[in-house]
Amino acid sequence: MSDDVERYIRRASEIMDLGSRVERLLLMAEEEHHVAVPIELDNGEMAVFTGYRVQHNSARGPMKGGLRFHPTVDADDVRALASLMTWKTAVVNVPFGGAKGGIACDPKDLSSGELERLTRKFTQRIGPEIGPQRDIPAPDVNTNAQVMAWMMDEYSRRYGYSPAVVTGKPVDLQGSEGREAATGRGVVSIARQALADLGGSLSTATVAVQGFGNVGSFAALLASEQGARVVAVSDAGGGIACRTGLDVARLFDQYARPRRLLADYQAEGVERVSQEELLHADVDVLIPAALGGVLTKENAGAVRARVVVEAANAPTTPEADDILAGRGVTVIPDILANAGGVTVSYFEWVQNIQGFRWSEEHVNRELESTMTASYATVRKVVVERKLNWRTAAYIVGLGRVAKATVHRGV
Amino acid sequence: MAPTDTVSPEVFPLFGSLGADELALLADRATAVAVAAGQALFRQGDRGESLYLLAAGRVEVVASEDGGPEHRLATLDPGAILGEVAVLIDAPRTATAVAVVDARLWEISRSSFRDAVAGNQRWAVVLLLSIARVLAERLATVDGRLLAAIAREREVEEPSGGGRVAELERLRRRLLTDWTF
Repeated sequence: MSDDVERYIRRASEIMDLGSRVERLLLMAEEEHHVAVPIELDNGEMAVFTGYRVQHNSARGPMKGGLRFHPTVDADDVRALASLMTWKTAVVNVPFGGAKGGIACDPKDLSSGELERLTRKFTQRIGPEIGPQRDIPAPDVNTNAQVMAWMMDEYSRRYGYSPAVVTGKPVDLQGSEGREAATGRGVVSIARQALADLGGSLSTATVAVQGFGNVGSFAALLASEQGARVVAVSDAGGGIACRTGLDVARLFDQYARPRRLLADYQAEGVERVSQEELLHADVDVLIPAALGGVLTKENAGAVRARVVVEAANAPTTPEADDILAGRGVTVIPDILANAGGVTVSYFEWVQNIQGFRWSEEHVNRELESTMTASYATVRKVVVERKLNWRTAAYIVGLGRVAKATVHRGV
Repeated sequence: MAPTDTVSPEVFPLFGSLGADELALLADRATAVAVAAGQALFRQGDRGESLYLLAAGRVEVVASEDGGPEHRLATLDPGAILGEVAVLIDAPRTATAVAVVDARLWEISRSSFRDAVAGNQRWAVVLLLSIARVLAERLATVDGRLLAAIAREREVEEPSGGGRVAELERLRRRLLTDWTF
């Protein structure tokens, strides 16, 4: 994935003629922190984990990015994801730079108490490097509002009450209304605009969603609320499909909160489908909302959707991207399509700094306004320069970071 | 050697199309002048009243700016016209003409030249066209030098050798003009 992002950045940089020195400056992370995180396990033994925080670029503001707990977390991975955040915040024009962090651990093997001690110790170790005006972590893979609450509490103990040091906090602890649905809501907004551009309408469109986690479930629910027929969804256990449309509201209530595998879902007209069958469904919009690298050169040729909206990070390999482009499929890239999450994270930070709570309607209205403006900006580059959406989005992101950099000077 | 008694078309090809009578009219108006090597025919700032046709020898045209060091503008060989600005406008000589080796020239005064042009004498019309061509060519040369000088000035402001500040400044300008969004 790190190679792919770098490839997209180089392509955009070349078109913009930024020059090799500026390109190098924009590719390099500003700072990388590796910390040892020792905790006492419930059985009395000590364990030491490795924590990472990569701060990629702060030209446009305090750095922003998730914190993930996963066994495969390593410096390369975190570095690439930090870079992605720099371009994503720039594409939607929120005044943040990019960062990412993680702890190499398997949270399934840890009790709640162990997770809390791990989170608090990591916050102690990384504390001097983060802060409301420096670097603001957020939930990511295997981290949630509770983890953010522990981080906020631990940070506030040492540095004074600081709700703005993390986002994605519980709504009862200075979190934002609308944060949970934000990424899915942004995805649906983008899908609606893309369909309208192609002369279609979300209200009459058919949709397939791969992944029924936080992003996929909200995307499916909101699309169906806006009239779309969601004909297929899947999760790690496989997919379900129904030509006349799935009962997404029921699926959401029964399978999304709390998470349950869709495998035991029974309803009239519903059949089981494989992941591959879902990707090849005859629909207007395909929303890959699970893992990276699911659309490959092997399966991209059979995609029948008119629009692919990348709700997941990097679901399309560069080879698949070219194949889809060659077949006239519009691919709206992750750094635009799934930026609703970081946008509302920004709103949460703004509310914390303001000490003022926004209503859910206000958050959703501001989110819609940001997604509309961002889509229009990227679309302008697509039309004027005759580029695909991914390259155009990277040009917008790279351009904004480069402008901030040259305005500030080196 | 150029003949000394008349303005010879062999030395001045511009008069090649004139007949004998027309050459005679020119000879009437032209006065022979000799300048020894190292001597000045006229000096920058002098009041100019006539133009010269170089019949023999070699003349160097030099000029200085505000009394500074002299720069050589041209080295003229037989057949050349010099001092022509003086017959067009009443202005001080813009340069100094010095004989490098003994030189012989034909001097034509402003009034003679203007009378001849007014009288539609062919030699004067031919000479006028020739002067116009010389001035046009000189203007083209000056334009080229001016452009080069402007480019050099820019170069000084923005060294292409890659000072980082200059590189960023160039990038900034380009980003703000080419990539507005």
